[in-house]
Amino acid sequence: MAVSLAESMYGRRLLLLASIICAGMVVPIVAVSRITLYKGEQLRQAAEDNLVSTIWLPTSRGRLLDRKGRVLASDRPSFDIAVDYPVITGQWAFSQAARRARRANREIWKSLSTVQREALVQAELPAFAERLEAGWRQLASIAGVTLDDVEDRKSAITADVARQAANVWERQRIAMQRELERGRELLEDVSLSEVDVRPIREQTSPHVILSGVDDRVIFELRSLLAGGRLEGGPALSLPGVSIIDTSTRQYPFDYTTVTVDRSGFPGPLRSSKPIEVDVTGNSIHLIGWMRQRPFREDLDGRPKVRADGTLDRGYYQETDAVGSSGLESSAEDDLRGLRGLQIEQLDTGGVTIEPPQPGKDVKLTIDAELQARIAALMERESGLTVVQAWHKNKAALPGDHLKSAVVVLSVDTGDILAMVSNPGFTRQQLSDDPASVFKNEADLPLLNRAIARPYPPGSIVKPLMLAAAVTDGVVDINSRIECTGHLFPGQKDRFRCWIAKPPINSTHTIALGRHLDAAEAIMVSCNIFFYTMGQKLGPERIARWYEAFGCGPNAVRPRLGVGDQFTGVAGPQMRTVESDEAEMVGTDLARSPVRPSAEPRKGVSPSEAILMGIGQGPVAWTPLHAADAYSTLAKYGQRIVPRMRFDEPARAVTLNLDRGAVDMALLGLEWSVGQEIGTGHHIVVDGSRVGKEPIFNVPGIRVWGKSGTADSGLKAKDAEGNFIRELSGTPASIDHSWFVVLAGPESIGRPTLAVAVIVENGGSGGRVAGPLCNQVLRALIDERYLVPGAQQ
Amino acid sequence: MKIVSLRDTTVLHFAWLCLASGLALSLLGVYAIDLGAHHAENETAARTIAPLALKQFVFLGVGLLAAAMAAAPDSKFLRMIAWPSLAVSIALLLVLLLPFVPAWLVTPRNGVRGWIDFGVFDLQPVEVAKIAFVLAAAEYLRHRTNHRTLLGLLPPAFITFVPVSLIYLQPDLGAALLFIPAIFAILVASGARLKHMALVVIIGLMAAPISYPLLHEYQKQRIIGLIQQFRGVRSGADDINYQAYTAQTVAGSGGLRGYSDTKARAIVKYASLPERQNDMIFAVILSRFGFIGGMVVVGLYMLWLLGAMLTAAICKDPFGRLVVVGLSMIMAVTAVVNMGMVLGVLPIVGLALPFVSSGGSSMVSVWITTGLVFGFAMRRAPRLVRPAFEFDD
Repeated sequence: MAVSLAESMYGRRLLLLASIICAGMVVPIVAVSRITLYKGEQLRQAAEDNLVSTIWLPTSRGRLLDRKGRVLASDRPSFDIAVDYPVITGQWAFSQAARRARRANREIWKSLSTVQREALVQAELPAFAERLEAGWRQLASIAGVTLDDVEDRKSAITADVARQAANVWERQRIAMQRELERGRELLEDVSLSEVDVRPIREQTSPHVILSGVDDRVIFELRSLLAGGRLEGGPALSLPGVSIIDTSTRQYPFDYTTVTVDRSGFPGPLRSSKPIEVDVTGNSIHLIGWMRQRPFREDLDGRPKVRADGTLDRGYYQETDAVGSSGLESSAEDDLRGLRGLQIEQLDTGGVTIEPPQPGKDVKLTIDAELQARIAALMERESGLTVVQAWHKNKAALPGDHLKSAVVVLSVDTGDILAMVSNPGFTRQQLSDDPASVFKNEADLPLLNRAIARPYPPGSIVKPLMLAAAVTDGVVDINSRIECTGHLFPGQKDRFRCWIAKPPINSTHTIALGRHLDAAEAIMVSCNIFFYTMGQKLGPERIARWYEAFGCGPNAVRPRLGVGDQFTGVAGPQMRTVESDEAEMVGTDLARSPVRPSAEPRKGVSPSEAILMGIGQGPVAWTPLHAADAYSTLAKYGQRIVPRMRFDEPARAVTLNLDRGAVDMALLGLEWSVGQEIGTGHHIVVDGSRVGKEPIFNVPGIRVWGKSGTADSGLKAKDAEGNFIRELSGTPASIDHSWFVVLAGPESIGRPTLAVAVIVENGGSGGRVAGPLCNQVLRALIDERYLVPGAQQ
Repeated sequence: MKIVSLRDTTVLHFAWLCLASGLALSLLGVYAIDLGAHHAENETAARTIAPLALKQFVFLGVGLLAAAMAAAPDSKFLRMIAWPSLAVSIALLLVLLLPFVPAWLVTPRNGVRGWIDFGVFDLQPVEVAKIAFVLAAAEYLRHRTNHRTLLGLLPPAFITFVPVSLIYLQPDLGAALLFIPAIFAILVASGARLKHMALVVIIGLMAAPISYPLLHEYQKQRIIGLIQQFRGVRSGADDINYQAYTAQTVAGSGGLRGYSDTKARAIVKYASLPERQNDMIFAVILSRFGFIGGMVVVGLYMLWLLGAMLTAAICKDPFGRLVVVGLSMIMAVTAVVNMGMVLGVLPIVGLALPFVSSGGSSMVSVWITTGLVFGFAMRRAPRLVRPAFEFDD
């Protein structure tokens, strides 16, 4: 036939058309092959995914607890109950009635008039309206509210949505009118008069009827919602109900009021009347805070499907809260928990549930009450960190509130019992006025001064230098050194002892009537003795010993998880900066002369090593370093690395300190606070040398301690910018006030706790940090960490 | 009008292929409509046939009746009613567009004014117009020769332009474009010079991009959507390409052999495929019967077209030849375009799958088409007829 067709023109044309048709048919053949055979597997998976309804069941975040099990952070379960808008307005009943009426009369529906149709719908309406009525009553009953409350809420929602709809439609009309006037075609076939026929989003979405509902109600509601899908179970009459998880994170100790006993306060601050001090943001530097949305790196770091193809139930969703800083962030993986999963096979009705796994609780070594007490002592109201007349602080004015930090460490375990930095901030401030926290250059409230701010150690390193020098054999423990007031003969202006400066202008040898042994040198904080230690240790050894005590980038660092830690530096990593042009204290901390060098130097010079012997020169550390080093000293060189979490395994480093040297150092420390001639023994608060008050008044507690007045390298200036001068005429330096103690019950006879206190730019260690340190010890007594008469 | 007489007819003809394949496709369509409308909880659950499927079955009956009525009259009668039927079609198309026509008579569906509601049934004038156009074009060209000149193509172009423009204004671009391959096929079969036809095709292809700005916004969106699909861009998966991607997912899920009845019903239901009983019904068939089912459907269309083309080859009546060729081309293009848009190789243009998609107008229209082919096939050629469309080329 094809041959005969080809013989005629018509036949040929027909064959041509047939070929065109066949060519066209190749398109669906190829396309069907591609989509069913080549892409079939992938599309099958996608189609079958539609048969599975996955509902994530919320989990609860783990708690942060203090060492006594008090809750520092926990989730407060909270839920909102939302209902679809058509159900709220009752339109749902009308829609259902219309649907049923149409179905029941489908053959004649088209032939009916509008009035007839309306009548049929009205006949079906009561059943659905009754169901809604019953549903609202049921919901109110479950939630424990009155029906009137629910009705009020419905009315408010309806009015609000109507207002929004009117605004939206008006804007749409205006926009459409503009388009028409420009002669442009409208995208959709909707006339101006038909704009308000189209519902706005709020008219088709759920709205919150009840907020802040507790989980008991939600549990019952969930059972009723699930019962609607399972045969035989009780169901909720009300359609269109959904549950929204609005859980929040609570911090019970965020706002506390502490009663401060001032009976042991120094001089003018003393009072028999306690004061109530409001402490806000307690432990916020340690606990941190949450953010309400994950960042891109959170989402990418923990995706829904792992690299091995398994599902991670802890993956981040767009609406998840995430630990943003502190322990909320570092312990995120432990705290987070795993969501539950409810998988419903829509075609078979089968349901499988993988229950949620709550996050783990993380127990911290800190004591929340102790933290609050110490924080209260550091607040302005207590007065201990406010510049007083007896401070003789040339760098600050009386009444100025000084910044400070305190660390309390257990000598036996390395547990950090308290770590407080002032000033702090609150989570409310973070949300209401973040600039006051993040951009406050003057106070730097975000900075945890206990671990992240470098300070020159000053005299508090002296006992450590003694132990180091004797252990290395460069100094005889029994050697006595003459204090001439300056290290080098003929160079009276360099490497001077503090006692040789005006107005005293003396030497310790003269003051004591003899050359000083090690304990005496610590007691009176003789610079010459410890310049000598530094000189004899030399640059390499001294840097190595600082590092051994935990100060330096190569030292074994505590794993705290509370944010940035300054590693401490000593020696080659340090570079001092000329500070003559530096600004006044407290206003330009970024220009602190103590900062790491961008490039490591080849080594410290011998003169820098001498300075390091008294804790000055190229060395900087934090209050945590100080407490850690003293704790190590107390254990004769057994360093237990400080920890913040109980689940952090204990780590120990052995320094093998000479026992005799440690005994001598501890003796010196005990004399420093216990002997009247000791630099940490007393303060004078009334301007006379007669009105002496002991710094420490903790009966039954044995104290080993050392004050430190560390030269910050900055010079004090007055309001006009002129240097404030000493009596000698030299510009007065701005000093940080240190006091570090070891303490333990007298009945035990050895240190059990180490406490390090710094008051930034406070001046004299004894006068300023000392009284605060004393109050910290009293707080430890109140909290039963120091128990006079204890046997263990 | 001469009704068929036994002396002038034969039972041995190729249009039986059209009848058989059309019937098979129609029954398949009834089943697919029921599958798309009805989700059974499990294999053994008692269920009834979906009302829409039952309705389609009724339409099949009506269609078969219409086919019989279309096969009955002879060629002379059909020629007589060709121009009047085109006039009636154009009138009906005008009714759709007139602004004062009451809403109860003409209501837009999905933005298209394409149906006239007669109460008992809805009529889609474009279905009437397609057949009337082919009859009119065939009547015009059956003994003409001037269409072998370039200027001679203008009258057929005008005959095409009138209904096409009215349909385009509904707006129903897909249906409007069907007329062009039909007139092309009729002109080719009637002896128009191929070089002229090639020129027209080239000009048409060149004009296509230029006419893009004249398209409606939603039509442009569909073209953009198709381009996005080709580029693998999924950003439109939830809006302009939702229907396309969903159809492809349902279609491809069938794999080689498709799903069981119950599973296929669930797949279709929970995919929320729009127009699953109409334009996207081919996806439902593929989901149920897979690649094999798809090939069966394509094979049935090819069988129908084979029957029609063989009828056109054997038919001696020039009018009959042109009518069959024109109707065959409409059938082929409609089927290819519908399957192409379901499978994501063509933009969605709203063309139903012949015999299969739900809808009375469409069903009756394709069966009238089949009846016309059947009518020409069963009539013996009159004696002394001169060969038609033989030119020295």
